[in-house]
Amino acid sequence: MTYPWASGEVLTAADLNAYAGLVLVKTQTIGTAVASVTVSNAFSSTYDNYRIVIGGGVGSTAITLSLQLGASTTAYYGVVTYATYAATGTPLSAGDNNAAKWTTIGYAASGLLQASFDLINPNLATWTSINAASWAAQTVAGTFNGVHQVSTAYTDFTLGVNTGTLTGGTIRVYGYNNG
Amino acid sequence: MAEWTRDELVALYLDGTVNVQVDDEVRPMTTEEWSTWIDGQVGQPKPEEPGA
Repeated sequence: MTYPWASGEVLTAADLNAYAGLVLVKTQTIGTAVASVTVSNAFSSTYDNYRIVIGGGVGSTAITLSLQLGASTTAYYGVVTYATYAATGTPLSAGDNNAAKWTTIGYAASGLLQASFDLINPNLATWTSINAASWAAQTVAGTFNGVHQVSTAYTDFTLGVNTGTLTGGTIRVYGYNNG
Repeated sequence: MAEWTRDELVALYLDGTVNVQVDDEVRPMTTEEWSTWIDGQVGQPKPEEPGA
């Protein structure tokens, strides 16, 4: 059956599978006072691209969140561009240049834990990119984009911190339906 | 800009109070893991914002 569906038509499983947009793949609750959270079996050949949304918890201090694919600790490149809410001065940037992980993919503080971003091709044996990792902190907000220049397929990822610990919240992994 | 000292970090995050999580399993860092984790933060600035 072809979208848009008409009144009276019977939707089959095949129809629903074909037209699902984002599909929830995995939900992981974050524990108490953790410095890292590894989410295993998040990526598979079922989906090429993913959205990861993290929220609901808090940080022990002001924390930038990091992301690592599998056990890979090299060839992470990326740049965060951010500006103050006062919008004074020139927007600033900071980069990961062949780093051991992506270092600014989200933010946590005493009042929030927050990240939302797309991963393109993490389970394909090609480079993986992270796009539109947008976050909001106490006085600034920014966006992170980058690429992991290793042609390996990953199933797991690890959420980390630059300092401090995380408590509570949920990591949700959605797959973009390949159609 | 102020930087983290080891004493400050140890006071904030006592050995045995920092955990690592793999899926639903949460366990305390071993003393060796904790010490390495503390050392990795010593000398880092205390930014409230990335790159600040």
